[in-house]
Amino acid sequence: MALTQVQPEAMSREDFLKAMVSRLDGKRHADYPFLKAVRTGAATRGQIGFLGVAFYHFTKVTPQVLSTIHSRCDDRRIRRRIMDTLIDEDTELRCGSKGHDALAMDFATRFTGWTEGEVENFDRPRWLKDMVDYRFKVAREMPVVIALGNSGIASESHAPEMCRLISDGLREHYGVKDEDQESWIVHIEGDEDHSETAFKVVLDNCKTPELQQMMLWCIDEYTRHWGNFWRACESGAVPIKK
Amino acid sequence: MGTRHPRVRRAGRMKATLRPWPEGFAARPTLTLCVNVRNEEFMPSCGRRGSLEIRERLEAALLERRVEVDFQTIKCLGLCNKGPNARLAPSNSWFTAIGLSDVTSLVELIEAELAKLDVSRKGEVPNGTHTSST
Repeated sequence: MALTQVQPEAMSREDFLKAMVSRLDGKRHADYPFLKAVRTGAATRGQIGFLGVAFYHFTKVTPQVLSTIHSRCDDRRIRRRIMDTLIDEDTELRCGSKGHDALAMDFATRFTGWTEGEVENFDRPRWLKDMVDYRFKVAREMPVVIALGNSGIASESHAPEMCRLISDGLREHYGVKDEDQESWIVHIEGDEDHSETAFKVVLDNCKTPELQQMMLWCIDEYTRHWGNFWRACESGAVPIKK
Repeated sequence: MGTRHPRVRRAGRMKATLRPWPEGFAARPTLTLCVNVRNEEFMPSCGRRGSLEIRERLEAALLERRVEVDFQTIKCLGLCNKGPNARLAPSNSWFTAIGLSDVTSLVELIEAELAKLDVSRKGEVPNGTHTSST
């Protein structure tokens, strides 16, 4: 991780946007070989099972991360936007026939043949605990606008492509019906709105060099955690019971 | 068939977002229709807007016209406010706000997309000339 030297003046909106986008270059989800392996059918079922279980443990804390940010936010308009995302993530009312944690659980159990209890009690590796801890730390301690950008820009802005690659690979090479992989499909278009919201909120509110540098640091840090996630999927595997 | 929801889309207002097929795709394409019926009537869901009836007509039309697509259903595609929705994969083409009267147009659009795929598999460009110079 490299901390960029704080510049004396804030970047313009356009330059800040360019800086954020360029920080993602080469570190988007779809840049990792594991995603290409799923798309082309080269990944093993054990590796994909590992992805399903790990993704459940990542996804299940998202509502609490979001509600932590919501509880710290003084701006009613931004709270409303967070609430919209929270409804998508944690309920069956919109964007998904179940909360996204339940959809992730469905995929994990249906693909691996594991019970819900087995998925829930999966011994989370250190890197996954660190990733979850990082998400909560940002939500609890960083300025609200940075915490929103951390989720929306550093992760969700490039999630649709990830989900599309996984979904197409699962359907084409592993015989997974769409109804058994709703967890991925609902994000293919749905996350676009979350990402746009995050970019707008960050650009509207990060107008000091300190905030801008903090945002860039978060992009570096969260994409580093995601790098760990994808490399672990490549090297990991779980037994498939069906 | 249950009671029709007042917001069932009957008029033809379908919107299509068509995207190119990925290079080298050799399998059978999939058309997935959302059939979610939410318990909460105040929240949008494709099933309450008519997709259950659309499914019947669409399935019959695809069969009748022998459209080479794997037809599936799902409980949510994630764009509930725009429904009823269907998605063609792996081109990631979307059909939103599908009305009952749109089924024929939808099938024609899918046939046109499949024709593009067929052309690209034969190494031709849409006007029928080969991309290869040999």
